[in-house]
Formats: sequence, C-alpha cells, structure tokens
Amino acid sequence: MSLSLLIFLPLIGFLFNGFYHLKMARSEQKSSAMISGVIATGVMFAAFLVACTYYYMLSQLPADGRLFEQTLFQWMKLGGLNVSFALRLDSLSSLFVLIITGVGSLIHLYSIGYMSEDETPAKYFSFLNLFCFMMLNLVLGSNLPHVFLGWEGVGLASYLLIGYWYQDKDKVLAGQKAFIMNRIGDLGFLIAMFIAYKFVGSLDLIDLQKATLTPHVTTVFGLLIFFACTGKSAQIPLFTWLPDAMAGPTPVSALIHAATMVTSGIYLLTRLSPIIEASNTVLTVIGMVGVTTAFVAALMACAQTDIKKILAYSTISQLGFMFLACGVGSFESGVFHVMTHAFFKALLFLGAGSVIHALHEEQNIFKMGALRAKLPITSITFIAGWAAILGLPPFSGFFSKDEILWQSLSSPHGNVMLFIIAAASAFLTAFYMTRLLVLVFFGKSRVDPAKQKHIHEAPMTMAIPLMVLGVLSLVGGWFGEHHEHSGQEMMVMAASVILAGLGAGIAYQKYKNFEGEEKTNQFLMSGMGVDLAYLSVFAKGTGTLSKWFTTYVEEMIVQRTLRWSTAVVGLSGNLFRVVQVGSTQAYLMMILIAIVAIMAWVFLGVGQYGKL
Amino acid sequence: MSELEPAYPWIAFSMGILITMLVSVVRIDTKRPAQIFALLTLVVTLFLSMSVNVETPQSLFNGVFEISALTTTALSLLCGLGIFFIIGTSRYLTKEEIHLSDYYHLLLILILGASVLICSKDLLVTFIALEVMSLPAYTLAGFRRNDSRSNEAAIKYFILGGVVGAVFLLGASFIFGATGTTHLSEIYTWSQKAQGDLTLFYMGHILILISFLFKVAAVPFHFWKPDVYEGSPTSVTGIMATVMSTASFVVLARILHIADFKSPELAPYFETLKQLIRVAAVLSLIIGSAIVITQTNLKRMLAYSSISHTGYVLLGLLGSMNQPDLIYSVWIYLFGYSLMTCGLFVLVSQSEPKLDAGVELIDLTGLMKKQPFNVVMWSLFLFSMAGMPFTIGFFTKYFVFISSVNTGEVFYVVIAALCAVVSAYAYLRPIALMVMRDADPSAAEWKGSVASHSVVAVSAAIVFALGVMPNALIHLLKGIPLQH
Repeated sequence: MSLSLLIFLPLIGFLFNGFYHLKMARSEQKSSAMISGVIATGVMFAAFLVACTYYYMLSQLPADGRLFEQTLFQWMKLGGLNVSFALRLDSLSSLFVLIITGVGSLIHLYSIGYMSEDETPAKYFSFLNLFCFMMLNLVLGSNLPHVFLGWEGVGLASYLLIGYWYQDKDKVLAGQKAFIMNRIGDLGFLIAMFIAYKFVGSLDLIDLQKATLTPHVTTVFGLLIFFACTGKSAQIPLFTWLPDAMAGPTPVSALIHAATMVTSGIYLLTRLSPIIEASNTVLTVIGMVGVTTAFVAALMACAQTDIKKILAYSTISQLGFMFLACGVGSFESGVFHVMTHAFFKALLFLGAGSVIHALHEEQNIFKMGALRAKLPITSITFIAGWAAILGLPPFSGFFSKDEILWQSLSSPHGNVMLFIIAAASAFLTAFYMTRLLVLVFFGKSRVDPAKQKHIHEAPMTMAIPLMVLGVLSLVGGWFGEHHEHSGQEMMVMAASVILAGLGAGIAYQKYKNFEGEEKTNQFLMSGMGVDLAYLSVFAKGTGTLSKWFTTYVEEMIVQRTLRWSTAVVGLSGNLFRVVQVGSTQAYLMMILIAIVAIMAWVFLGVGQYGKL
Repeated sequence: MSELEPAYPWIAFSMGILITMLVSVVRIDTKRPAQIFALLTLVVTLFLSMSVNVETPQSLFNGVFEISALTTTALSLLCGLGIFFIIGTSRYLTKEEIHLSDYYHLLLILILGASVLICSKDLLVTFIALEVMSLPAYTLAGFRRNDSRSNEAAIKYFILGGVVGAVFLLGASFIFGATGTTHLSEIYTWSQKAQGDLTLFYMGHILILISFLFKVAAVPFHFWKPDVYEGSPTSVTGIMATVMSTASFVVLARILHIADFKSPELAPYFETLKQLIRVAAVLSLIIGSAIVITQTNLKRMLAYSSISHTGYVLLGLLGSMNQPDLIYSVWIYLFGYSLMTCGLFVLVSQSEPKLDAGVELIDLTGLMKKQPFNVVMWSLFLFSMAGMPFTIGFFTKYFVFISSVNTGEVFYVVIAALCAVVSAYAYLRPIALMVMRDADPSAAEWKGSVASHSVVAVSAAIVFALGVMPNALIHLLKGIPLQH
C-alpha cells in the first residue's frame, strides 16, 4: 500500500467516468447513474479505507515523528528551484484526508439517488472524482506548487460543477463568478509563492515552516496567503461568489461549498502557521476579518428566503468562526471546527437537498412547512444538524464552537470585542437556523397544492448518508482533545448555550404559526449590495478604463504607429520589387554592376577601412 | 583498398547512380524501377555515411577530398532530404506529367554534386562539383516542358549560372596566380607567410566569394531566385532550396575561412571582408523580408523568404569569422531550415491549381474545412519559418542571434530581429487565410498521397521534436568544426 493510492483512486474514477461519458455521448445514449455512481462511490470509499489505515498507522508512531512521505517523481528543476511531486501525510493532512474521503464517499453515495434522473450522470461523477483528486493533492502536497496545483484544480472542479447545468445561463454566470473571484485570490497565492522562493529559497512546506524571515517579509507573506484564503474560503472581501455557487447540484454544495474546498483556506493557514503566527499584524487582520465575516454573513442569512442561500451564508459565517480561531492563534480549534462543520453542514445541505428533491426543485422556505411527518428521516437528521450548528450540548458544534468563543476571549491574541461580536454571531446563528427549521418542518404547510401529494421521503442511497452524518454530528465533537475546564470557561459555555437558546426561542415564537411570505430586508438579502458595488467599481471601472485605452492609446498611438510602419514596410517592399524586372539581360547587368561596385568598394578605398 | 574505405558512401552513391541510369534506359516505358533504385541508392548511402568512422578527419586523393564529421553528416542530411522529396513528390510528378525515369538519375547526380562540393578541398574540384550539381538543376528546372515559365526558369538559371561559374573560374585563376596552388590547405599555409602586395589574391577571393553569394542568393545577387523558384517544378524547387543551399553555404563557409586572417598582413582585408558580409546579410534580411510580405504567389513568397533566411545564415557566418567555433550556429540553421523547407515544399506540391496557374496564396483559403490536419502541418512549418518557440525555427534563429551578440554584432541582431517581425506577417497570413477565410471560388484543390502526407508528418514531427528538445542536435552539431 502506498500513499499514492489516495490520489490515484479518485483519479481512476475520474478517468473511468470521463471516458464512459464520452463514449455514451458519442453514441448519444444516456449514461447509467448506477454504474458511474457505484464506481465513483467505490473508489472514494476505497480511498477512505486507505485513509483510515494510514490514520491508524500514523497514531502508532511516536508523537514527534508522525509523518509519511512518498516522492512520485521530480516535477520541475529550474536553476535553484527543485520541485518534486511528493505526497506527505501528517496528523493535519490525515484529518483533512479523512474528511474528504469520508464525507466525500457519503456525498457520492447520496448523489446516486439525487442525480438518478439527470441526463449525464457519468459527467457529473467524473467531475466529482476530479474534485476529490485535486482536493487530496491540495492537502497531501509537500510544497507550495503542489498545493497550488490542488488549489487551482479544486477551483476548476468547482467551476465545472456550479455551471453543471449549463443550459441555464444564470448557473453558467455563477460558475464564472466563482472562478473569477477565486482567481483574484490566487494572485495572492502566486505572489506569496514568489516571495517565499526569493527569501527562503525553497518552496517545500517543511522548509517554509522552519524559515526565519524578517518581520516585513513575514507580514507581507502572511497577508498575501490570507488574501488567497479569503478567495477560496469566501471571506470578506471575496465572499460574494459562495451564495451564487448554490446554483450547482445540492450534493456539490454540500461537498465542495461546505465541507471541503472552502475549508482549504484554514488548511493553508494552519500549514503555514509558524509564519502566520510570527506577525501580530497578520493575526489581527485574520481575526478581525473572520469575526466580521461571521457576524455580517449571519445577519445576511436572517434575510434569505432560499433554503440553500441561508445555508450558504451560514457557511460563510461558520468559516468566519474558523478564521477567527486562526486569528487568535488557536489553529487547532479552527481545524476542529472544520471537522465538526464538515459533518453538520454537509448534513444540513444534504437534508436541504432531500427537501428540495421531495418538493420538485422548490427552494423557497415560505413555500414549505409541516414537512416533519412526511419526511421523517430527513427531519430527524436535520434537527441533529440544527442542534449541532447551534452548539447545543452534547452535539458536535458545542465543543468546537465554544472552544473558539473561549479562545477569542482568553488567548493572548483575543480580546473582549472579538468575543462579543462572535457571541452575537452565535446568537444570530441560532435565530436563522431555527427560522429555517421551523418554517420548513413545523408550523402550517404552505406548500403549493399541486406538489402536495407528490411529497416523498428520499430513497435509501440518500437516506443512509443523512443518517451517518446525523450520528457524526451528534458524536463528532467527542473526538476533540479534552482538557480541564476552568470556571471562567464554564461561564462562557453557559453564556453561549443561553444565547443560542434565546435566539432559537425568539425565532420559534416568531415563525411557529407563520403564514404567507415574509418581507425581508432587501439590503441584507442582496448581500449588502457588495455585488453591486463590485460591479460598479471594478467591472464598470475596468470597462471605462479599457474604453479610454481603446480610444486614446490604442487608436491614437498604437494603431497609428502601426499603420505608418506597415505603410513604410509595404512601400519599401514594392520599391525593392521594381528591380525585379524578369529580364535575364537586366539581371546580368545588375550582377556585373554589383561586382564592379564591390571591387571598387574594396580596392579603391571607398570603404571605411581605407585603401588596401 | 582500405584507404578508400571512408569514401565508400560516395563510391556507393556513384555506382547507384550508374545503376539507376542503366535501369532507366532498360525500362524506358515505366519510371517505377528508376524511382525504386534511386531510393535504394539514397538509403544505402545514408546508412554507409552514418557508419563511417570520422573521429579523425581524413583526406583522400592527395588531400582534395575531405572526409570528416562535417561531410558525412552533410551527406546524411542530403540523402535524407532526397529520400523525403522522392517519396513526397511522386504523386506531384505524375500529376504534372513529368514523371520520367530521367528525373531520378538527374536528381541523384545533383545530390552527388552537392555532397562532393561539401567535401572538396581544392578549387578545381569545387568547380567541377559545382557544375555537377548545377547542370542537372538547370535541366530539372525546365522539366515542366509545356509551361513557358518553366522553360524561362531553366534558360535564365542556366545563363546566369554559367556566367557566375565563369566568375568563379576567374577568381580561382587569380588565386592560383597569387599562391601557386588551388589546394585549400596549401592556400592556408601560404597565407600564414604571405607578404607584400596581395591584391591579386584578394581579387580572386572576392570573385569566388561573389560566385557563392550568387549561389545562396544573397542580395545583390538574388534576382534569379524568385523566377527560378516559381518556374521550376515544385519538387525541384524544394531540392534547390534545401540540398543546393546547404552545400553552397558550406562552401561559402570554407571560402570565408580560406586563409589565416589572423596574420597582421591580412587583418585589414579581413575587416573589409566582414563589412562586406555584414552589408550582404543586412541587405538580404531587409529586402527579403520587405518583399516577402508583398507576394501573392506561394513559391515566389518562399523564394523571398529564403533570401531573408540567407541573411540569417550570413549573420551566423559573420559570427564564425569573429570566433571560429561559433560555426555550429550555421550548421543548426542549415539543418533546421532544410527540414522545414522540405516539409513546406512537399505541402505546396499537393496543390492542384486550375488552368495551370501557379500556386497562389488565395488557393489556401478554406483549407481548414477541407483538410484540418494539413492546416496544422502548414502552421507548424510556417511558425517554424517565423521562428516561433516549440519549433526548430526558434532555435535556428536563437543560436545565430546568440553567436552574433557574443561577438559584438548587436546592431545587426537588432535589424535581424526587426526583419523577423516583418516577415512573421508573411508567414502568418497563409495561416489566417486557411483558418479564417472561406474557400475562394478560384481556390485550388489540395490532394496528397499517403506517401506525401507521411513525409510531411515525419518532418513536422522532427521540426516539433527538435523545437522541444534540441539538445541532441545541438550536441551533435557543436562538435563539427570546419577543417582547414
């Protein structure tokens, strides 16, 4: 067994399904969701088993030597730069690999049911496998270029899957938006990589962790890396793509835009934590951005009416919590929250998918209600996810979220302000999640009568992942490292549980007998107009600038110069052609003249070197 | 017999020619046997020339015949080009109704003349080889007997070539008068001790130089080229552009290194000589690239393009005059240029113009829809001509530029680079016509045999492969010095 199995298994799935799709598309047949789905799920589950084995093997090693490494080939060698294509598994990447393959295989399984009526399931599964391949490269890569390969690769897969239903123009645009916003962040990654090479001389992650840099370089490097993370992990200022990314199939939202890809920013920060921690400026920026995102996104989530958009803003908000953890220097609690969040947010998304599936693509929560009886499995598991995200003991979110809240107050980099905003966000989280839960599963039914009688519980392939994730959402928090709780910490815990209860209670009171549609705040609903601002400032600004360049620089200077120079060249071409008369006598004459001229030049001292 | 062993490739080549000639007389009704024997001759020669041991250069026949890495490599290249052309243009010859058995032994004699020209270390042998190479070329140029342009090309080429042959002989006799020998290595030894008035030697040297500047069509001796290229059968034009240019350039290199110009007595003349080459190079570059963009006839366009390429090779030769080991940039240029030109001419020979018109650029319109694979081939060769990366054309220019920059000829590199930009227009225009324009009603049909497609594909593969991994070729050619 070797580490490369981890990345090759999804790759095999990708290639199989890719060729399967092409073959079927060529003969204009529909590919089978069962065949492609079983293959795709099978390779992911096999990868999960491999990951489990490695997790066990890793835990058997002494604590300071927990590392497996495998070099596959030398990737590039240019001057002093020597980049090998090597996989490296330590405790951090091992956790991420478990999440990717574990949650990944559950979502693959779920997709078999969800995509059963799709036209091109093999294409879908090949993209999904490609995503897992790239994501595993991201977390297993031993150097920055390798991480960047995965970083770009997951961006590509995400783009392909958001715009998967490409006949719908809005979905295509959403895919492009995600890609472009991510590319902006990538600029930070690239420049950070250049800086690392310039000042460290190596791009290997272990070398980078050990490197000592001057304070300025550390700050710039850290900020650039963080900027890259704001793109991939949807933080302020680059968060606007994630709500739109909900255009993709719901399992995609669960896997890529909740559980794995969007957390790669946390992975990168944690991986480079020695450099990040070395600069207080960077930590402060990360903490501030994280907590602001958590609060603002939670606020926006309260005003959404689309079930997936609520979950999308919720994801942004939860990612904000994770960045807050990183920002106060408690990377391990950030990663812990990545894990619990992967369980409960994937569960919530899949539950939402099940609801949408049951109601035939209905996504407005004001056209749902009282679904608890008709969708028993979905509603029970959804309630587990709700309890987890609220942070109710003993559900998983309780452990990770309270750890973050406690760290934001007590860590050397934390302060009261961070804590208060974070606690307010937790309160809002409870509010919007309860609003969602009550409007969808309780109260009176506001479902379109035409759809009323077709409501059906999800098939087994969809129900099993829900149940597994439900259990994980319940017990996932117990995997964390436990320590003695001080009295102060107990108070923080109690306060957060009370806040969550309060938020939930208010929402329950407000929405339990709700009828009709709520008039929500348009400003919050549209993401505080950030999209509009970007559009008018950057898109329009660039447009104006390029128009200016077209009219003045291009037309007046470039084109004019070009026209003149081509005219001169063309003219001289025609001029030289004049001597090309075609008559042999004339040619002979010219040869003779040339010979005489050369002789005269050489021997009569016309040349610059004088008479010989 | 063992002392003749290194000359076996040439001997085998000559015997092959005799057999081919005999075959073509015996089986006068059909051309296939002659074609097959011609191919066989070239293949055998190719293998023999690759198996000659040339670790130490040898001279045969009282030192007039050099056998070295240079001459065997050149012979291999020439044989390879001959094979490519015979295979690739067989269908063309049938189509033009010039598929005569005479064609093949004339072609072989031409290639033999070219290969002996490269080996020659004596002015008289050079002259004989030059004529052995040129006479079949004059004949072959007129092989499209029903086309007046072909006849015109043959006559024009013959007259001009004859005059220039006389110029060479005059120069050679001057040199003999000055030095008392026609042997190149004896001239070299003589020059090391030469003193006094050397005008006679200089005049002779300038004259033989001019005769080969004519052969490579350097400005101002380039007039013949467009007319001859246009009129000759495409397969013959291809041979002229590759085999004959390569051989002529090697002789030009020998002429430019004929004497020990480092001796103080000859140094002022050497400076003048370099100036002469600079002027010829710059004129060839500028005039070649300026006219090439005005051409509408494909073969004329390629003729002017070859004039501008002559300019680049002259720059490479200039570099080698400053620093003899830089001659490898010339070898790389000749090798790469021959390959891509070979591919291009085989492609041109696939056209079937209506009403016996020449192959015009407009004939290429709409080719993308008809033959997408061939468009890729065209583009690759044209990109290579323009010097784009990932083709051998990039490295040919690159090494010439490097050798010029390293020897302080920066100004001329700037001019050459500007000319490359200008002529890139001419190379990209056919691609634009093929891809972006719909077929013109008057556009010719394009049909190639499997054989000619495979020749194109193989040379394209080499052009591309060497453009990506040129190391092997550079390593091979770097080790080939010019012997005195």
